[in-house]
Amino acid sequence: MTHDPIDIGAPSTTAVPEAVLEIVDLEMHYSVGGGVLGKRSVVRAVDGVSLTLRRGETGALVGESGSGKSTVGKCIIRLVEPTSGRVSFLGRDTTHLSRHALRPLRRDMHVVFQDPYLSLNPRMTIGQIVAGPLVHNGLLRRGDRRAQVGELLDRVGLRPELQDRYPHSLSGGQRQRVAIARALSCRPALLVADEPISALDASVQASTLNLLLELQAEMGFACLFITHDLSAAEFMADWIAVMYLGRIVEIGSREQIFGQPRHPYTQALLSAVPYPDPVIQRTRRAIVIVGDPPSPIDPPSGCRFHTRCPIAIDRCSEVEPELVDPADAGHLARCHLVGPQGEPPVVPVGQPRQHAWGDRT
Amino acid sequence: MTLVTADPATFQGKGVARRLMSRPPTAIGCIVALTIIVVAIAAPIVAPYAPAANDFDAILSPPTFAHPMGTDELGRDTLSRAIWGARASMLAGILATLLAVVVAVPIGLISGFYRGRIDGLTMRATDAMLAFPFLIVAVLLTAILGPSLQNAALAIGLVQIPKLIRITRGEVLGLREESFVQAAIADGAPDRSVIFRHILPNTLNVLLVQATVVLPFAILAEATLSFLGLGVQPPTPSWGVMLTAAQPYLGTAPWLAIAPGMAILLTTLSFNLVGDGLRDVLDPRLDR
Amino acid sequence: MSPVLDVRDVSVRIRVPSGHHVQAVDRVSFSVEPGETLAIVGESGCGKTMLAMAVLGLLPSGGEITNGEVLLDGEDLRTATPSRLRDIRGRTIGAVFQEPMAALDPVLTIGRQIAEVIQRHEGLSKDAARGRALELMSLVGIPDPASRIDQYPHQFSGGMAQRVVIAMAIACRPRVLLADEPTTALDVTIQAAVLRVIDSLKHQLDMAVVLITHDLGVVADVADRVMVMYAGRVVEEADVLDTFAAPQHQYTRGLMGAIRHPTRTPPRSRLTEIPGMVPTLLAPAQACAFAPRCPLADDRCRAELPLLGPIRDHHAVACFHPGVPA
Repeated sequence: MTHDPIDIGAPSTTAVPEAVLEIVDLEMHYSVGGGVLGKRSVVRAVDGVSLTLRRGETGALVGESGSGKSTVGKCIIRLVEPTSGRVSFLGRDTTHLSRHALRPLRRDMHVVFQDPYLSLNPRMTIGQIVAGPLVHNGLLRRGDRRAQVGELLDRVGLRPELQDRYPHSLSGGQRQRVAIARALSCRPALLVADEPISALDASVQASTLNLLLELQAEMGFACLFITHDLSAAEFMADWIAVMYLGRIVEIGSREQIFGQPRHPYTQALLSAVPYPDPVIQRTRRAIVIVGDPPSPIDPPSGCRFHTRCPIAIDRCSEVEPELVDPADAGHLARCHLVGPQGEPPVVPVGQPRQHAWGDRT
Repeated sequence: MTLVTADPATFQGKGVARRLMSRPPTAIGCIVALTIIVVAIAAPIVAPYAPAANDFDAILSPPTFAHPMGTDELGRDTLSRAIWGARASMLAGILATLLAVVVAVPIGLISGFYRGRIDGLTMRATDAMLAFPFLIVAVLLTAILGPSLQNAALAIGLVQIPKLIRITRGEVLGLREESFVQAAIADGAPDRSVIFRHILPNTLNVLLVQATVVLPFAILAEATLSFLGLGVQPPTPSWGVMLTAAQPYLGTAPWLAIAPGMAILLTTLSFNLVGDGLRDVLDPRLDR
Repeated sequence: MSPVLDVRDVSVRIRVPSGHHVQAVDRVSFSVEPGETLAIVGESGCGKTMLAMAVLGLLPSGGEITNGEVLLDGEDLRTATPSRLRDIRGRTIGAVFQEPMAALDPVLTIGRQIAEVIQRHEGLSKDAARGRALELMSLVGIPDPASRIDQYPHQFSGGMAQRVVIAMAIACRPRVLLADEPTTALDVTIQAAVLRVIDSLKHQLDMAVVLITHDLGVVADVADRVMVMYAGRVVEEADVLDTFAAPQHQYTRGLMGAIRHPTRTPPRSRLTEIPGMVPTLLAPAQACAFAPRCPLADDRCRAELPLLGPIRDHHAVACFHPGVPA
């Protein structure tokens, strides 16, 4: 079943920035197990995802473990080949391009990974690492390499002398900056950031987010920000897509998602993020969802969230809801219980906390 | 400055040799292994006598001042022959190891990186090769090609290949999923660059450790083959040859077997100790 | 009430492979009473994990406690024999760490693993221990324990596995529960549930809880008191309300400034940054370790070590300029 690619970010002005990336019904299924005696099963990591990302825009893909968000990122960058669907990058269909045909396109897209300790080759110097994309895309200024690399490091707030060091002598935050410098060295049109700050300390997360925002404003790339951290998504993104078990369950602008979340899962996610103020946090009543996330090998029938949804009705286990936008406001949700004008279903909160304050009065 | 802080760079890198030597068993292993290598290279200088030099006045003599490890039935000095024998053993060991590495590593790299049908084929081939016991291979080979040091080394190397392919492939399978390799692909690097600049250098630690395991096996294997008459032929000394010659005299002149036996023992033990130490020191988890 | 765990002036030094010594913990003191949760907060490299390891007697080889006492109900663990420590761990102090799968043996059923803890410390028979294990699984909120008790760790999700680990940690009704980043590796929807479990167990068993975390949201959720560590030393210690409402140390303020929460942080604004990095000290600090990064630092800060001193009721800070707006 095809959908039009979901297009949230288009502002209402006449000048519409072009679409850098369009994915339609993307699917990534892995088969596991099997062998001589075992039964092969299929992991439906990504099961029908569509979205559009425009130049200069940041879209966030939010989800917990098992949602498939990282796999979407890998399909977009073509580190894996999707099993079905279409990925369109700068107007070209890249879904099934060969590795060889992809190489010239790699100059226009790049990725920053989660683990700063593993995303840099321990046996290469920082300078060699950052220059990598320049070398492979023929953009290195011969004879001027040190200066060119120095400029790139300076742009991410690192001293140019660091180019002679090895990754092990840098801190996590510095390594992540190196990864960002590398990713942006060819001035790509698209940056996929897969959990770029999750492995960093809190204060370093702040400076890294600030850096990404600054660089985006300066260089105008489109950014797909993949994260489980809702507050980072809200900080960075123009639009947010919430994923659950391989599908998008809600997508909308930042204001829509955080101001009026529709899908019960989105509401539960927001409710679960602890509020950094003890008074508020302990008097809040949170939405409780029970049970384990189901396995992507055997997703539940009907709505995939129904097994854990506090307000599921019979219909939810029988028919899978479509991703719809009742009020035509660019805010879509995949839930039977969203009202005809887009009114979000009311999800009950749990009991007030007992012993929130321990023994004190 | 009243704050004594450390730059992360302070803690890394050059400690490998020092770390190796800080463990007593490894340090001893290193010293002994190095000594044996030096002795093997400097045999003409170190050995008191030529290996074929006969001293008919001292046939089958027990250890004396003139002949610290005794003499054999032709009056040849056992100690000197053992020293010269080191050459044969080390040569065979190195040749075999080199052969195994040069053949196995590229196959393992390609098989692990590309997977698919090539990988399937390689795995079935290594399975088949692993099914052949070493001695059968060695006997077959020397029967066809004739017994000699080189052919013994060939047989030994061949037998190491499937294991080394598997080990390399295993490392490659793990490494190709690491984010720095994925990043290199995202950089636009061609496959050969990814394999040789990113994956291979990060397998060297493991391969180095493996080499230190293969070498003692090769030395032992060479001794076995020479003992059976399939390797180095007399009168060229090799520890295996010396053991064969010592067989009839085990009761009457045990020193003839002790020298080559001890040599084999010391060599294999010391290289194994070095290998263990290297594995501990180079463990990738400690590098971070 | 007297504290269950009283750590006094503890210092920990670690020898790294290159031969250097790192001062991981420098004269840290804290105490916890039954029914109370103390959160130890800090970024990586601040020494909080080494402190926990020191208390448990699980320092890596090359690590040693060079100073101070670790008093558990008055007994100094620092002088305890290895067998006494083994006895205490699991019985009097329970521990939960970040990765549940790393704490569980993949080849034993979780029923066996929980029962083993009980059998080892309380000498119950296998059947009795199994019965207790079922109770414990209910207590930590594992649904349908009877059918899950004979399952293996890989059949459990992260959140459920962590509950199993908690069950093992509290199996013998310990006096103290030490949890080092217990929810960091878990999804946010599961995190809340696991924190609830720890909280409710604390009340049911009247335990003292030491919770080590870098996540201030978690601290706001469950802590009674907060201790902020930096470069191996305690820089601020206060009641949880005070810590959030009126942080006195510039570092604590920096941490507070770096917190984001949806609906709270204006989007696309600049987040407060603390320039520089957490230092690794090779010797006990002789001056304020935070001075190189502190906007308020003056010559005194760079020459003299500020000691932890009370600033008001139940609120101590180690700074020469506490509470001064930057």
